[in-house]
Amino acid sequence: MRHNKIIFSGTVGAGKSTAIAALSDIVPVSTEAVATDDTAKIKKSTTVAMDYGLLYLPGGEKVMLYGTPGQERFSFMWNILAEGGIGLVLLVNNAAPDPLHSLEKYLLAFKTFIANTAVAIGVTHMDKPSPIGLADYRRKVAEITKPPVPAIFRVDARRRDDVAMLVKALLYTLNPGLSES
Amino acid sequence: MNTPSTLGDSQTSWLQFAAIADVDAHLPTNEEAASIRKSIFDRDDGQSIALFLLQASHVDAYAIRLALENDAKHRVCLVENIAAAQVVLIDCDRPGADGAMRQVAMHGKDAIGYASNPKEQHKRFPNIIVLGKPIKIDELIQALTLVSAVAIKAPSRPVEQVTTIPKPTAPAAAHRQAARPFVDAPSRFGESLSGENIDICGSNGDIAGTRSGEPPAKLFFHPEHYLLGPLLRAVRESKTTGLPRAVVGLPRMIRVASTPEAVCRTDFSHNRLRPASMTQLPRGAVLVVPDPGPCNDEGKETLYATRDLLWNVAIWAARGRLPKGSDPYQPVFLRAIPDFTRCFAPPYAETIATLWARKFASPVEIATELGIPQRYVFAFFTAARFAGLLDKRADAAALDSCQNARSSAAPANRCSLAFSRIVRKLINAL
Repeated sequence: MRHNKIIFSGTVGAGKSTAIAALSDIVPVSTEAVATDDTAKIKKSTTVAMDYGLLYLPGGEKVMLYGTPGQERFSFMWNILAEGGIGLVLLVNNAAPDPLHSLEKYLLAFKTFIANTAVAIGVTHMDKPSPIGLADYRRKVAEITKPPVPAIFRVDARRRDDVAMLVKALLYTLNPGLSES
Repeated sequence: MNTPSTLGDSQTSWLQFAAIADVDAHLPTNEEAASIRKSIFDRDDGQSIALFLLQASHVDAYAIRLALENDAKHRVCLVENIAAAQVVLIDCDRPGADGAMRQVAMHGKDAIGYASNPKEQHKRFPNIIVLGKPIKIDELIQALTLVSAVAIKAPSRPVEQVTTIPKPTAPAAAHRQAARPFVDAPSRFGESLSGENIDICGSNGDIAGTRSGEPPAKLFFHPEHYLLGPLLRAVRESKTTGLPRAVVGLPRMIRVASTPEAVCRTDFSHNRLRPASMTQLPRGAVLVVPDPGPCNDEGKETLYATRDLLWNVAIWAARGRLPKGSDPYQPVFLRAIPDFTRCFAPPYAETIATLWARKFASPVEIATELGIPQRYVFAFFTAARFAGLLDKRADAAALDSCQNARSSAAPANRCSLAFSRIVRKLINAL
């Protein structure tokens, strides 16, 4: 039986683990460790290998949700986890310094994967004051990637509806003719 | 038929429902109708027509109440029980419409219906006026005028006379309903019977797939007749002057700012903003003024990105129609996929967005390609236009790239069944 795999990646503190927890039908398996470097300024613990969640579909089919570590020193995990994935959900922390640069880094890191599949981008922490809006992200993505510009949504990673909408957008990017009925 | 010709300016709609309301025997003459209308519109004696809403959805009830408060506060008053009513307004599309009609008949009240397809519903309820959805307040007042006129001409109408409402076709069903006459009794005013989604994109049929003459007038709406118009003006004025503006005249204020970012603040809740956006507003009732500053309950204000608010207000006003002056056959390009975590997504929105972001096509072409009713695409088009997401030109390089994207996406069709199941899981349909 074929199982589908969706990859969640993005910057430190963007909410990847939280997003997977919001969507998963199981308690996510996570590999959290106490943050010791700059990450400690943002949060107490961080993902060091991966997060893993599941969506159960009728007939025993499963959708696996893999979250990559945010820190670049664990970037060797990114390609390993992405292999066989149907698409990428990329989360960007808008409250972090220079989020547009972070976005660019991730888009370039996953360039080949995205070219073969699709990406949907969720911008988190947009409730905090910032001079950067969705239009800036759209402009940046348009500079880096070829049209069409992928879906870029404001996301609260704690809200299942937001995360589900982002994953839906990813699936519609893969196949615009999907049916909901 | 004595068709009153002096009853307001929306003559087409008026004539339409007047034609549907085939109650010649009770119709007043033009002079009588004008006189009665004058007595209703101009009355300042504190008396008003008592109207009871039966079977009305929460959205409709709110919209009607708001419109009446704005335009006919002293002429029509909404009452909360049928006994106190002179006229009863019934949503004929609701499952309990037959029961509602019986209830009205038993109380000896006059009824007015409203429905998505008024002609069809008039066949079902031939003795009453059936207005179209979305209900227009001037038409409602005109209908009230007419019903009042009929009542004046036949003031002593016995209760038995109104029991001639058509019976259900199946005798057994009629018997069952007669045995429990109030089983379908609708909720009190303002209570929802759900199903408000019916109202999202209206019920307009498709137009021709290729340009052939003028599209029907009912395909279009004028933004200035809705909250959308003043809101758009406020956004433009704020952008031009750099100063904050406010939209006033509704129960809640909408404050618009363009700097440092384009945002709107309002203490309209989502549930109230929607009916306010759907309601036709009397001309001049809603104004754009300099922002008077935060109101007392500033803490309750919701912050919207201006684009998102324009999207939502536009899609609710549109109800499957296009803004006046737009061309359903003109190809356009969707510059960006709307932020559906904040923008209201009508049916098929995601699939329309994805396709339109890859293809330079007209609304009619998009509907044809997706095999969906055009009204959903028209609603999307309207919202996208006011949110500033449409381009009338697409550069060749972008089109080539999109074409390649479509080709490379083709193998994914093999997975469409699995992906559809995932989508259904995500919307909790599984």
